[in-house]
Amino acid sequence: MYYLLTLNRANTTCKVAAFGGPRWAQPDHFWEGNMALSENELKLIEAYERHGREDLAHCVRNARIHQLLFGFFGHNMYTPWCTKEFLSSRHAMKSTLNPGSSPKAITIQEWDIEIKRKYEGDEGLAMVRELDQRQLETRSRSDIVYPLQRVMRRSWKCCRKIMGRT
Amino acid sequence: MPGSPGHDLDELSPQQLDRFIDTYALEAIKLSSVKFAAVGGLCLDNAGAITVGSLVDTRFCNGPDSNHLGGPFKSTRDQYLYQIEACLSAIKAGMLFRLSPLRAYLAHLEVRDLILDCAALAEEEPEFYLKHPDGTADNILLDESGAVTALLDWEW
Repeated sequence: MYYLLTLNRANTTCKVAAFGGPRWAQPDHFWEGNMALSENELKLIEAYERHGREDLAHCVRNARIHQLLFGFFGHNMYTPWCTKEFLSSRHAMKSTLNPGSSPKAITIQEWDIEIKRKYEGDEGLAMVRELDQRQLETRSRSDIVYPLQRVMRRSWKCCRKIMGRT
Repeated sequence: MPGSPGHDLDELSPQQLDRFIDTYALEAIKLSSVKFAAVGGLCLDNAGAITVGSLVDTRFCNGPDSNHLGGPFKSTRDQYLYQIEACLSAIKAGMLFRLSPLRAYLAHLEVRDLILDCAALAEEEPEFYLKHPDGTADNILLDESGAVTALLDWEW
């Protein structure tokens, strides 16, 4: 048996995160809030139990918290075109990290209102609002500029065709 | 090194899949005997012994050495909270989620509170273990029977 590992580049973590369902066994549906174990995860649990390792089987049953948090970091789901993905992963995080809460599904508008009210006293919020405003202005400018550029480019191509230069 | 990458497990026969899962479980059982005292990245100390230092995570790469992300930590909860703070700082500095910083920032504040209130993450963790950063079947070599012959690329 071979293990290929480079020192300085490998990480350690808690038992549940280390031995809970590896990526090859994970289903995609838990990002949508469905926490059911996949067929491969169930088989892995059976294998651990067959080899007398109920502790590792327990890790597979309880790894969703770590899988969700692992996927959360660095994953960009905050743009307007990822709203559905953002809301479903938020729902999955809430129901997994706080199992007693049974959160109801909400719209992005409801979330916006609720969350801004909840964190209005946060120190960094004003700075981030400014950044966001600047980003919105840039986006709206490019919404005007880019279509205009496209129209102009198309017109120029038409002119060249008419003048027989192409 | 014998074997070929697992890639698509759906292509294995039911017998090969059972063999794969069984041998994978046996390797994981062996790995569970290798324990560490903290959450972080493996490195060598001055005496040349393997120890746990800063966490390595290339998703947070913003400079020459910034993919070493804090730590070692005494719990995964501390690790997640540190990562949240790192993300919040990077968003404020305009370095992360630049297309929609406000929504990203608020979502991170919300998840920070979820982590702080999570009973499962507050439990004591006495020992820590190696974690593969990408446990897809691409990083596992199998022989013709489906048995695992190698686990590759444990590094970030």
